[in-house]
Amino acid sequence: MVKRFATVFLTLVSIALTIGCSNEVRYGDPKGVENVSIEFGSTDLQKVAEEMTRSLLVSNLVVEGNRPLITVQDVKNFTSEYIDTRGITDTIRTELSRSGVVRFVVDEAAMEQQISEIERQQNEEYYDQETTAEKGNMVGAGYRLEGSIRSIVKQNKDVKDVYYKVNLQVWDVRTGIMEWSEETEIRKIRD
Amino acid sequence: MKTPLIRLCFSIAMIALLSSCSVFSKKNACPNGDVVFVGDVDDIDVVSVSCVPRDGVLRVIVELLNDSDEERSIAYRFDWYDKDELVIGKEESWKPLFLYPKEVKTLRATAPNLLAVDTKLSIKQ
Repeated sequence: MVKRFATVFLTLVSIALTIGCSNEVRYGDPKGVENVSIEFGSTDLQKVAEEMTRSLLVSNLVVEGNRPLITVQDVKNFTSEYIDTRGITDTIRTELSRSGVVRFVVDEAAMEQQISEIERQQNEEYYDQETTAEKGNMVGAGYRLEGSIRSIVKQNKDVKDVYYKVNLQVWDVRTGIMEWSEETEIRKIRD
Repeated sequence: MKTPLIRLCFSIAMIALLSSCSVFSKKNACPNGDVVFVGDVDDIDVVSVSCVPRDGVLRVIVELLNDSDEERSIAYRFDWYDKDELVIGKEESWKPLFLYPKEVKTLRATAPNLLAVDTKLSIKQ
C-alpha cells in the first residue's frame, strides 16, 4: 500500500516538474533575428521599415528645411497570409518623425477621432472658447504615402520558398506626380 | 645561427598574417567606422568601409567577403554616433544577410538623421 502511494506521488511530482519546466518564460531581444516560422515576421517588418525610412530620408522629397506634410494611406496586402500592414506604416512614420525632416497630418484612419475632438471642444458650456481648436484650421497634406506587399510562394514536399516584395510610393497630392518609390525584397526558405 | 633565423622568419610571417586579418581599407573613413564581430563569426572578412556624407546625411558602404567555400548566413546592424560620440536614436534591428561562397557583398546604410557623423557595424553569426 505504502509502495503504491509512493509510486503515485513520485509520478505526480514528475508530471508537475515537467509541466513547470516546459512553460518557462524568458525575455528575448526585440531587435533580434526571428526565424520561428516562414511567415512575415518581426524581423521582416523592421527590415522593411528601416530600409524604406532611410531611402525616403535621402530622397528628393526631403530638401533641407522644407519638412513636407505627409498623410499615410494603406499598404495593400496582396499576399495569401494575414499581415498587419498598418504596423509597417506606423513604424515608418515613427522613424521619420524621429528624424525631424518630415511631418505627418491626420490620416483617414484617425480622421474620425480628430473631428470628434474638435467638435467636443466646441461645447461652450465646458470649454474656454479662446483656447479651443476652431473648425477649418486643419492643414492638408502635400503628399500621400501608399504601397503594397506581394508574395510568391513555391512549395514541394521538402522545401517551402516565400518571396516578399514590398513597394512604397509617395505621391504629390496636388499634381499627382509620384515623387518617391522604393522596393524591398525578402526571401525565406524552409527546408 | 639557424634557430634565430627561423624565429625571425616565423615572427615576420605572424605579423604579416595578423596585419592582413585585422586591417581593412577605409576610404573617406568615418572618424572610427568600427566593425565589431559579436561572438565567433567564421570566414567573414571586412574588405572596406566607406563613409560619405551626402546632403548632410551620412551614408556608409561596407564590403564583406565570405572567405569560405560554403554559404553563410549572418546578421548585422549599424549604430550611429553624433559629434559627441553619443549613440543616436534607438538601436537598429539585426538584419539577416546571405552570402555565397567567396562572394563579396556590399552593404549600404544611411544614417537615421542629420546628426550622425560616425558609425559602428556589428556582425554576428
